[in-house]
Amino acid sequence: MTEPRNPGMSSIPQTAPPHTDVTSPAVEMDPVEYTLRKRLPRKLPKRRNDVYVNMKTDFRAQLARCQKLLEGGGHREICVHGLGLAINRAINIALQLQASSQGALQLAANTSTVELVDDLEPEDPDEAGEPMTRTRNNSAIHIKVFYPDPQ
Amino acid sequence: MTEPRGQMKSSNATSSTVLELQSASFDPDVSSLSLPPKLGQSNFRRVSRTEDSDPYPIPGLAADTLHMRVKEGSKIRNLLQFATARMQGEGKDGTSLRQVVFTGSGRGVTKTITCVEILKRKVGELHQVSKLYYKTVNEVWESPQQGAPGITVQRTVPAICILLSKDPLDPQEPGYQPPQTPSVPTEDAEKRRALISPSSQHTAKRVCPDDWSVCSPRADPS
Repeated sequence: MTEPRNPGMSSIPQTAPPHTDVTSPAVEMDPVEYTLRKRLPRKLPKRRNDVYVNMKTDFRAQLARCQKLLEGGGHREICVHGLGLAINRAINIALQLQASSQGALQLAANTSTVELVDDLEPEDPDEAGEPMTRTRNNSAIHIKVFYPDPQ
Repeated sequence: MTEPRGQMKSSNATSSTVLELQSASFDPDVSSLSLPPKLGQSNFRRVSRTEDSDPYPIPGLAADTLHMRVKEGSKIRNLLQFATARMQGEGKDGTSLRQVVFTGSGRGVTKTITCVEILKRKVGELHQVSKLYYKTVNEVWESPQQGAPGITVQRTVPAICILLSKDPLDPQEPGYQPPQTPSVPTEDAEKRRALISPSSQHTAKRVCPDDWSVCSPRADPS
């Protein structure tokens, strides 16, 4: 996932997050060549305790941010989101948080499918038709990391 | 902070090698299924890789639950053909399963989730429980130099275990997801249906002209 606070990210579609199931478009898009531009995932609903994990920021920085939210930020729960390749990292962060809490934290993972939109722009505007889009799906994970209610 | 990855259980290795190994496996997010670069450079060869067979992290599973082990190189089509046939009662014995478990670790995690997501759309009305855990993998590395001692590396990789069930599951269980309601907006459902069946999946990836005409009105939201 792309870091949501990254300034100016919406204007740079090339900085889309890494995708795991990239289909090689150039080969299949005969006869005209297109450039593939990945749009950013459609929306990032973001509460203060939502963390979107990406593959660009240093792992330890992202882990530290989560720890800060849980310990210093006073949140009883945070939600760690990961898309595609970042799923692994999101799981890793969640498991690390749990391990370093000495059993105080619990995890609840949900999975979902995220629809992603790619823009296809013709290399040569004279030859090709209008720009097109294509949608594809990628998997995502949403991990709730929380202190269980004392009962 | 504890570093669960790449813990060394080195017996006879020289201290310099140990240091090298530790630095190689220090980054907790390096995908552990790939060779640590420094190990590769020092000409160590992996002779064996064994995974401990952890019990299911999901409590109260039936003994005959179908267990799909998703590996990094598994073909999603193969996995799903098998799983859907069993779940929809088209297996050899004609009985349909009530539950299926998907597990995957390391780089196979994403694929595991993808399989689950596709199966949920295909079969429908499935209750889901997802569990995360660390899986321990033992690796034995051997130096090509004669007489050099071998090294045993124990590393942990993130893993996921997902149970899909036709029967209701405990909603209080952490990681529970209720079945997706089929009342998806028609356009979405249409698109998903197109992506599910193997034949049309192919065409969908190829961006046939029909897809373009469907998609192009949504091309520019601004």
